[in-house]
Amino acid sequence: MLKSTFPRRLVRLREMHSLSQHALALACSISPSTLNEIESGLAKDLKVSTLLKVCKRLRVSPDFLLGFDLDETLVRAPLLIVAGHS
Amino acid sequence: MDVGSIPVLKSTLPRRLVRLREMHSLSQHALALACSISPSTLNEIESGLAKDLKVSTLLKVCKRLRVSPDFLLGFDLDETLVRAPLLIVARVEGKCRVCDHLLIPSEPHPSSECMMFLSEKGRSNEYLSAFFGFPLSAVTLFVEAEYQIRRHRRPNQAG
Repeated sequence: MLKSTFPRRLVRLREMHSLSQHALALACSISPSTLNEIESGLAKDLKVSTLLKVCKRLRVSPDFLLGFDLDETLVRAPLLIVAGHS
Repeated sequence: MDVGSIPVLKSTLPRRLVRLREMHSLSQHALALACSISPSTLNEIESGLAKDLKVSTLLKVCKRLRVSPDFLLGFDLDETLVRAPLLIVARVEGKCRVCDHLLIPSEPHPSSECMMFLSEKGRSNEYLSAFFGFPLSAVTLFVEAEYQIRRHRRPNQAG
């Protein structure tokens, strides 16, 4: 999971948000080398605090990044707002 | 919901974890053993004393308790999952893979119908338990009760 799904979805979301690795690392208060390891699938493990920071910045849930949510359409339309009134 | 910060480890996670563990009739020691983590680590997590947690540990616990990380981390606000484990709540719009029922986010999907559909097709309770991610005991109780209800309904419908 940390070797394939997570890195793939993370990179895709970061690029959608037009963020560089460095910018995302800075926004999440983690080191760029840690983020690089995660995105390369080289990270052996990850702290929940780091996961939550990344989720918060990229506005997705842990389920999505960890591959529990099989529907990747969320990545194609993360800024979709459904209005309650016409 | 203390999303994005560690406070989630102090309240939501411990509360939901303890509740789920008790639902599965597991002791702290048994769950720790099943997840290959030390009982003291699990005790710290359940007491809200853990400063941080490895994702691998979280995933082991999720797997054993058959819930998603979203639920344990408080992203899933609907706690009915614990009270009524046979309820599926969709997070994204789409179709149920069993019945083609349109899944609307935050609206409960009657998974009971899908479960009975598969059961009537000859799927075992073990299969249903694995497919829907509910404890086997809950599935067995539900399927038996549902068949009983249907047996009682049929004569009335005919009349």
